[in-house]
Amino acid sequence: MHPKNHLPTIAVTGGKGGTGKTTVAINLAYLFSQRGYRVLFLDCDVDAPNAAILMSAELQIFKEVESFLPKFNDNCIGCGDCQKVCQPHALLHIPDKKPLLFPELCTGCEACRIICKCDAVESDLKVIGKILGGTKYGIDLIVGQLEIGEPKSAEVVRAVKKFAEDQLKKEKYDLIIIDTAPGAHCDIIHALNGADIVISVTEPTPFGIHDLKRILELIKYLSSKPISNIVVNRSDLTSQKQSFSVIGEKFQASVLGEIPMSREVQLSYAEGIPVLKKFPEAEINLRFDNIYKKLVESIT
Amino acid sequence: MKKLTVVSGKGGVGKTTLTAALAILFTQDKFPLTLTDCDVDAPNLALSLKNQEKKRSDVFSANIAILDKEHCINCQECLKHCKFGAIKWDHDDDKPIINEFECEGCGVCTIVCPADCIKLTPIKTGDLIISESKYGFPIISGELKIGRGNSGKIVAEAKMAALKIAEQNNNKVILSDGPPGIGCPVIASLSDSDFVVVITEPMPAAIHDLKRVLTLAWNFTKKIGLVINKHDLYPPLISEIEAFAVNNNINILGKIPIDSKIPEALIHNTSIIEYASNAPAAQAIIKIYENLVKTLRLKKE
Repeated sequence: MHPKNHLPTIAVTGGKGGTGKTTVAINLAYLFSQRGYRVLFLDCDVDAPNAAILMSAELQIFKEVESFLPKFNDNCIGCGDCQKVCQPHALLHIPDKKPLLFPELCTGCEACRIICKCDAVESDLKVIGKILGGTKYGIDLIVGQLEIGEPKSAEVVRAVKKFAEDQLKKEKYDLIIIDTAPGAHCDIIHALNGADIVISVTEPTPFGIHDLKRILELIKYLSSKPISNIVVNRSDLTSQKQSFSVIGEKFQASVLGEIPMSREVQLSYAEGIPVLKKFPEAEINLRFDNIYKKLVESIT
Repeated sequence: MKKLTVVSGKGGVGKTTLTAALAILFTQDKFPLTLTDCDVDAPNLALSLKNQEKKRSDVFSANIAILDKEHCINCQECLKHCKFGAIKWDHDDDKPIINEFECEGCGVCTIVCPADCIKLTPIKTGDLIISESKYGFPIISGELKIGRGNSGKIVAEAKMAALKIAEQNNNKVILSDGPPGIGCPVIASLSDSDFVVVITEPMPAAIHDLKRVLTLAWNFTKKIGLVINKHDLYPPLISEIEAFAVNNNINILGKIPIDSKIPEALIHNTSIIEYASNAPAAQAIIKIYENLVKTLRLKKE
């Protein structure tokens, strides 16, 4: 199904926000890196990219993500054809004049440029995000960051994935780990595309379960047909036991592990150090080790 | 009428818990309100308000390209021009495959197709749900169909429906629970808000995302109130948040302590205000509510 040069790819998602996606993702990356894997880490939560903060990784700007905006030159005869094809209604036709552009509505599809008979539409690029990168604990990070006020998160996610493809041609890696935004919308699909294993991090609350079901449903739509796994974080948040294996079954997903609450996680999170590094003796190491072993089995 | 929106940047810091509690407090205090769930991607607000669904309607806010395979002449023009990577080439069949989840509905393929065999077709992108909470106020929820884009448009639909109901009911307040992040649905949630409540927690990631969402919110209003949730989680960072608030003229509405009654109330599908109104977190939220009413200068009739 995958091309020969396909690298094992693990994506971490979860539906609800704040369940511990990034914490799980960076600790897994740390663990794989410690055990000799060359890891490429992609932060695809471009609205709120936090992986570098949780690892105290210093980032530099690799490139800007640009999107097409039309610019109308004097060839324009004011025919209005461009407005007719502009699906997001980003153009307003004023008879015999150049159209008025509402840049925030433009998706950069270039329909206006293609339809124009007069060669009046030029390309005016605008920056909608940045791609940053850095290295920490032997892990190479690629981080997407949406410019504030820009609505096109999906396009920045796509740019991160594209940038990663180029990076894979330059350097040799053994594993890709992807962190995603919360939710179950199309950006998440872009982030999860190509993953072999998807881990949905959830918590034992009605909110966690509600959103988990949405993301597990979405994972079933992915064309790469990944293995679908659940990690229950803060598994002891309430006394009420939730049967995640029963929920998982309905979506062909299995429970990979449970992570109880601990002061160690909170402290290392606050200080920006993977908990497995800061507290190598803590009980949580065993939990991650179990998850790690199961993942290794799946990817080899 | 005041339109309030609760956002946070980072997910999971307490937006929905706070919103549900504030809604009950407004109602108990005889300020009639309409509640909107703008977190259309993870709509949880109604879960803790014992609501009853009254009406559900489909939202068609997007088009996707549909191919008529029989008339396709295999020219690959659509593949060459799609900016969104939504078209792949099926080499066995020598025809394009349009991925409905990647398709932006821009119509470029329909323009460039010389055989005129691709058409734009409206698709359902979500639901608009009107329900009534057991406390009497209506809840308008947008719910994005799984895997779709256009969440901003569903937010806009939900807000429009809420405004209509609030006007009919002569409400004083429309309270909206916003989505995490800073992207399209957040922009749609913040637009024409009179007051924005931003909730955060003393953790570096939450503060990072708080600054991003505030920078966005300032484009819409300068009237912002800050709530610090789980303020005892990591006290060293509280002074940083406070200094940031002072320097930016942000009013701190209050701080909520860590309280086991909050997850307990969640498990019981109820708000902490109903579940344990004497718990420290509930008392803190009541103070936040009182500060909010004062700040907004809300007056009863």
